[in-house]
Amino acid sequence: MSLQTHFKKIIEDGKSSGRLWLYSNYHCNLECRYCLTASSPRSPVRGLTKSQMLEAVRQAKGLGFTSVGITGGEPFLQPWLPDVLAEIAELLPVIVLTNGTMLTRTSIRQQLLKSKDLPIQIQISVDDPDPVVHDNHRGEGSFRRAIQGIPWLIEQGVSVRISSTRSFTTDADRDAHDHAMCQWMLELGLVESDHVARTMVKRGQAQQNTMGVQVGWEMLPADLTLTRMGAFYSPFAPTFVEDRLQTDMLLTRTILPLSIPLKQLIRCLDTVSPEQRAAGDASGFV
Amino acid sequence: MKVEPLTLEQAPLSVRGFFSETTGPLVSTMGHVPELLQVAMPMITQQFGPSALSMRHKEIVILGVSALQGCRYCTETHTVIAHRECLTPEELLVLRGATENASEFVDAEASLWSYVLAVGAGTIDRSQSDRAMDLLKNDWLDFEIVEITMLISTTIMLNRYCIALDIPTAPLHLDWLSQQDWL
Repeated sequence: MSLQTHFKKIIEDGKSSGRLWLYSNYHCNLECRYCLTASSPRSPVRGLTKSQMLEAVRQAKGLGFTSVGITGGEPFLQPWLPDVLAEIAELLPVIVLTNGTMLTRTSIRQQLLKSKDLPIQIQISVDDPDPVVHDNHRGEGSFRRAIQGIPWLIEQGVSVRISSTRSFTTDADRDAHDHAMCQWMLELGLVESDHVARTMVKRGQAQQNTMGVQVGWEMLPADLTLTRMGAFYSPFAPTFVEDRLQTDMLLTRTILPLSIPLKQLIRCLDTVSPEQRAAGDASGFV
Repeated sequence: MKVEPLTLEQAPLSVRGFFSETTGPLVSTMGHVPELLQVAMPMITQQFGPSALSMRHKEIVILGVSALQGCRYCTETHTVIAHRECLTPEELLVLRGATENASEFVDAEASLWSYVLAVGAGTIDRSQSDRAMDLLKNDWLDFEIVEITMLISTTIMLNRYCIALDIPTAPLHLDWLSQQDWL
């Protein structure tokens, strides 16, 4: 079986979303309490280069990946990010995960406007419609800064999605939170399907602050993730604790050619039994 | 150690099978580059483990080369292993370079030892290695010569790795060496 055929089957079987994740950088202008990558303004950039990202996406398309995700750190701190987004979107649909605070910058807006007809989605992290709750996790004033660019994006027809990271223990609390989020989003001009809720994972800074839930790799979607430090099993994997990389879900240090880490990802997947996978509910982590 | 070894908890997903509670420093450091460990360990295990060449002969090569290369970790570790493979204290002294008395080895082992001395040192003297090869060919078949030469080469590679990364000898081995007055 060719690598492409094998990978296609894995996507069809629901073991991978088919998305290639790229960590554009690790530094951030915020310092969230549960940040997987323990990113902050003091973090080293640890960035992929523009050419690495583009080459990875070119190869990904050939190998049968269906979409691309860009995350960090705060991706928009890389000045070339809007350009790369457009180039990537010419090849595959792309989603970029951002804290939203940079989206009032004229230069970024101009580039997003130019590429608004391309399949680019901006996913903005807003943890709660209550600014106090959001700021408690992400820093004083971060709610206001996160949302100030949203109306303009909607007005211009840029595809926007809101992501909230949650750590509720009861279904009732979770449902109440989701309901409040959706109400708030409707007021902004978004719809319920534009909301994605993610479970807080106990890795990185969350692990340091004893927040979130412990997850094994079998519970996470097998979404190949490239970073400056190597290729990982999932975007939840290349995390840092006390400035030390967590290597437990490291696949290879080689990131290109993409076939090398992809083969390792498939090899690991082949060792997971359906029972192990069924034991973990991956849906909450996507 | 010049790089931080990985613990069992930090073992990368793709090479977790190589890790255990008693993982040695080669695996725990090479684990930083999983794709390298994946190919290096089977090769090292094949060469250092059971094969057509006896374990005693392998230890003559490994310990002899490691001492010639000045690798503290490999010399100390393989003194313990060679002793387990029933090499005598006198033979160990020769292999560790503490004595020039090569008469400890006779026949095929004598030609093996002269080959190790000719090829396992820092610089190879072509005429000396040719003479050693001629002697070796009297006692060993071609496939054995290939395996011996590969073992010398891999040992030198690991010697350099262990010297450069300052790999520490296991406390258990140090205790034994100290009791035998081998340190």
